[in-house]
Order: sequence, then C-alpha cells, then structure tokens
Amino acid sequence: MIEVNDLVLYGKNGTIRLKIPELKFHSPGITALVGHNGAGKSSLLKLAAGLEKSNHGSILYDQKDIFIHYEELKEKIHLLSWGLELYRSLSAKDHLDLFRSICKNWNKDIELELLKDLSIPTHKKVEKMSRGEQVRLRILLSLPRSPKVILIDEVTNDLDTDSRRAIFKKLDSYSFDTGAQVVVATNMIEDIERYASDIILLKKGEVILQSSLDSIKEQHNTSFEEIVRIYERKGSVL
Amino acid sequence: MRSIFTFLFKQYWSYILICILGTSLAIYYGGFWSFLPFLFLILFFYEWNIAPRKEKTWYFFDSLPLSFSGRYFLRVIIPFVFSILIIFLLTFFKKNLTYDFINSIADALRISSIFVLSSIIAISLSGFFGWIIIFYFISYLLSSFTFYEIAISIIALSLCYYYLSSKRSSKLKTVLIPFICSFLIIGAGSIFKLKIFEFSLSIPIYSLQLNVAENLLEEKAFIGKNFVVDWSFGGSDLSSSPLKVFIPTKYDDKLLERMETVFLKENSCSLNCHKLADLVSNFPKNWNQDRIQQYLYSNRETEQIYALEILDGAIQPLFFNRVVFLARSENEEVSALAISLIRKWGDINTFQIPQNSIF
Repeated sequence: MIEVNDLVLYGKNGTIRLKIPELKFHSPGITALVGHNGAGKSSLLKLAAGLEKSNHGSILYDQKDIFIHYEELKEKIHLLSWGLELYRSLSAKDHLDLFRSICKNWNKDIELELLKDLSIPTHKKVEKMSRGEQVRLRILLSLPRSPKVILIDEVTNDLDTDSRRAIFKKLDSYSFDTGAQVVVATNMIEDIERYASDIILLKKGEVILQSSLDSIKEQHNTSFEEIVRIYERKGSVL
Repeated sequence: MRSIFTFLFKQYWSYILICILGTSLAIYYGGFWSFLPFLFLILFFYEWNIAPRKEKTWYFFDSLPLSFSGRYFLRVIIPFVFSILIIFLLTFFKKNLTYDFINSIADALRISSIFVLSSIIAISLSGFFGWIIIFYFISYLLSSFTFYEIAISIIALSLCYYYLSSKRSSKLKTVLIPFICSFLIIGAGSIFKLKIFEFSLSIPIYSLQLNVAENLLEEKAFIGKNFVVDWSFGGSDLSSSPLKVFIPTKYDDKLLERMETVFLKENSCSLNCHKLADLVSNFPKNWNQDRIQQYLYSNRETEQIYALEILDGAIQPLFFNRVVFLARSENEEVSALAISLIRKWGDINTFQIPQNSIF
C-alpha cells in the first residue's frame, strides 16, 4: 500500500505544488484522483512512481521510500502517462518482443488475454496508432509484468467511451484478481462513477476529500458531480 | 541484451549509418569534410540522449527490469565507445598527417567524454552546444598536464553516472572520489612523467614509442637539468679563448640509446633525429664513442647523418678516416655534413698545431 507522509513539493518559483500531511491509497480497486488542472494530480503520481523527489516528507510503498528504492520498486509500480512516451518509429510488436525477452515474470496468459480483449494492432508503428490504441498498448506492456500499483495519469481522458470502457474493465478485473492498486487521475465523472471505488479530491495541491465512493454518495444523496462541487466550495479536509 | 540491441538498432540505425558514412568521407577527402563526422556525432548524441529525454522515451527503458548499471551501459557507455571509434578512425587516418596511435586515442577519449557528459546534462540542442563549449574550455585549461585526457574521461563518466541516477547515487562515491582520483592521476602523471615515458618505450608499438621518444626529447630526459661548465679545453696560446664544454649532472646513456633506436628506425633522419643529434653534440665529454663509431660505420644513411651531426660538437677530430670516406658518399646530405666537418677540423688543426713554426 502506498502511504504519503508529511509531503511538501515546491514549484520552480517557490510556490507550493503539493502539501499532503497524510494519505493512504487503499487496494484493491480503482482510486480516482480528481482535481482541476494544476491541482497537483500529475505531480503526485510522478512522486508516487519515484520519478521525482519531494522537498519534504516521503511516499512509501511497503514501508520503503519509493524515490530512494526506485530500482527495487519500479517493477511493482508502473506509471502510464502521456509524458512518458513509446518509440514512435517502432511497432507494437517491437516493444512487445523487447518486454517479453527481458521481463522474467512476464505473464503470457495475461498477454494473450489482453491481445484478444483490447484488439491491439501489433504490426502498426506507434506513430500510426490512435491515442486509444497507444493507451491499450501501454496497458499491454504493463499488466503482464504483474505490477502491484498502476498509476494512470489522464491517459484515458481523450479516448472514446468504448475504449475507456474496455480499458477500465480490464484494469478493474486485474485489480480485483491480483489485489493490485490502480490510481487513475481523471476528470471524467462518468468513469469515476462507474469504475472507481475510492476518490481523492485535490485542490491547489492539498487533499480536500478522501473517501470511498459509495459512502460519500450515501452521505450526500446526490450526484457525484455535485459532491465534487460541494467539497471544492468548502475546501475543507475530511 | 540481444533484444535490447536489436530494439536500439531499429531505432538508431540511420544515425549510426550517417556517422560511419561521414567518417569515411572525412578520411577519404580530408580538409573541410573532417567536420562532417563531428556534426553527425553531435546529432547522434542528441538523438540518443537529449531527444529521448524531451520526448520521455528513455523512461521506457528506465521502466524495464534492467539494473541501473545496465541502463548506464546503454545510455553512456555505448555512445561513448561509438564516439571513440569514430573520432579515433578520423584522427588516425587523417590526411597529410603521420598515423599517430596515441594522439588519436587521446583525442577520441577527450572529445567523446565531453560529448557524452554534455548530452547527459543538457536538455536541449542549444544547451548541448553550450556544455560542449564549456567542457572544451575546461579541458583546454588542463591540457598542459600529462594524462589529462584520462582524468577528463573519469570525471565525465562518473558525473554521467551521478546525473543519470537522478542524483540518487552517493555524491561521495560518484563525484568526490572520481574527482580526487583524477587529480591524483594528473599529479602522478606530472611527477612520474619521465618514468612512465621510459617504461612506455619498452611497449612494442612503434607509434607509441615514437610519441614517447618525442616527449622524452622535448623534456631532454637523458640529461640532468643542471650543467657544469668545463673551460679546460681551450687553446694553449694566450690569444685564443678557451673552449666551453658542458657536462650535465646526469647523462643516462641507456635511455639515450633507446631513444636513438626509435628515431633511427626511420628511413631518413627526421626532425627528431636532427634535434637529438644537435642536443647530444653539446656534450662531447659524455659521448659513448663506441656507439657513435657504430653509427658512423653503418650502411644506413640515417645513422651516418645522425653520427656526423653529433661529431659537429667534437672538441678534436674523431674517426677522421671514416668522415673523409663519407665525404665521397652518394647521399648529398651525408657528403655535405662530412665535408663541413673536415673543413671545421682543418681549422681546429691549423689553430691548435700551427704549421708555421715561427708563429
């Protein structure tokens, strides 16, 4: 489980990008990380993936600092982001061949299942693929390696409903089958309501809501969109 | 590893190819074309390390289950070795220059280190050029020290390691210790330079021996730095000034012989051969006359010229008959030197043993 302790991250001009005293990601299931642009979703995910170092505090996985133990933990924590690209002039097959030969724990069954369910054109070059196909390829390169945490940074936002549905269904079943944690930064209310089990709401770098989706809905008895508005207005931490 | 190489080759084959083609053109045509491989190498480094950072494709490799050392090998060592190969070929086979193995390796090492470190630190093409200029200037400042190329390589590779680890690795191990080691190498190189050069003379690579012998000649390694002046070789009469003869505090004849062996292997008496003869001719008291005789009686013109030039510093005529014989040599340089010596000795004889008994 990922734990955030006393985290502070400053921006280039000294402004606070993230300030989270305490946060725990619960698994299994999909946790939706929600917030306006600039709220700090991507920063939090990069820190959780060990790609950046915080100015203060730490993010732990199994009681280990993720940034310090990056080499050890990178097989367990995968980040899927548009900022982290595949090789555009190479095909999906090229990428797949490389992963198959290098990853010792590559799960062939999961690969075949994903190839069947996500219908990825393996001979197409990445640059010729649609956004949806690229996201599906990233998932295909990630899930057979049996990660314990999958962090998805808004890569599903531009996709059509069918593609998103296929991807979220796969992530959801993977999470419950393996006990893995899936954290998705998104603003797609429809996806959150349909697939997320937990929600974390960020505002200006601070967590203003963390709850299970069912309980927060029960509590307010209104649409999820309205709940988000209520908390953003309040700006209070629960 | 094979699959990684295949993957990388598919991605970078065109850049590797233009580097090889550019180098071939530069070797064949020389001159202006020599810039081509450097431009292509800069492009290669940009594509290998800077563009993937901008496009975040190296994260793809970072996310693979490869050890950090494996990734360091891919991102730093592979382009570094490729660059060494290209620059070495270019400088070694450069037109109108003698093939110089050691200088080519040193150039390749220095320039490749600068390229690879700049490509790891920079985040844009302009930044890449900027870092290259800065590191070039630093290496220029260090260029007066022996083995500075090795020091630059150690510093560059260790800094690459540090930056590549996103500063996770220990500063002490990857920055401080390599810096100390580099300065120790530079210091030791300066202190033990002559000893190292002497040792290098025994390595059976002629271009290396030639380079080392040149350096030893430059340093006048076989003689001590201080001289004693012996005035006793003057004329016996009061009207002439006494001859001044230098006697060095140290005269390593064995080292001199090894240097001579290197220079005299050439088919003609090169500039180095002339320089050495000129230097040796200043110390007639220390000469190994057996060896001079051996050179003088040799059939090789290089050795004859060398010996005759040394004899130019003789206090009194030596091997006169042989010099007279060499005056009739078919080689113009040999005969000219021999005639010049005979004339000079004639003057000495006239001066020291006056034929006119009244005078």
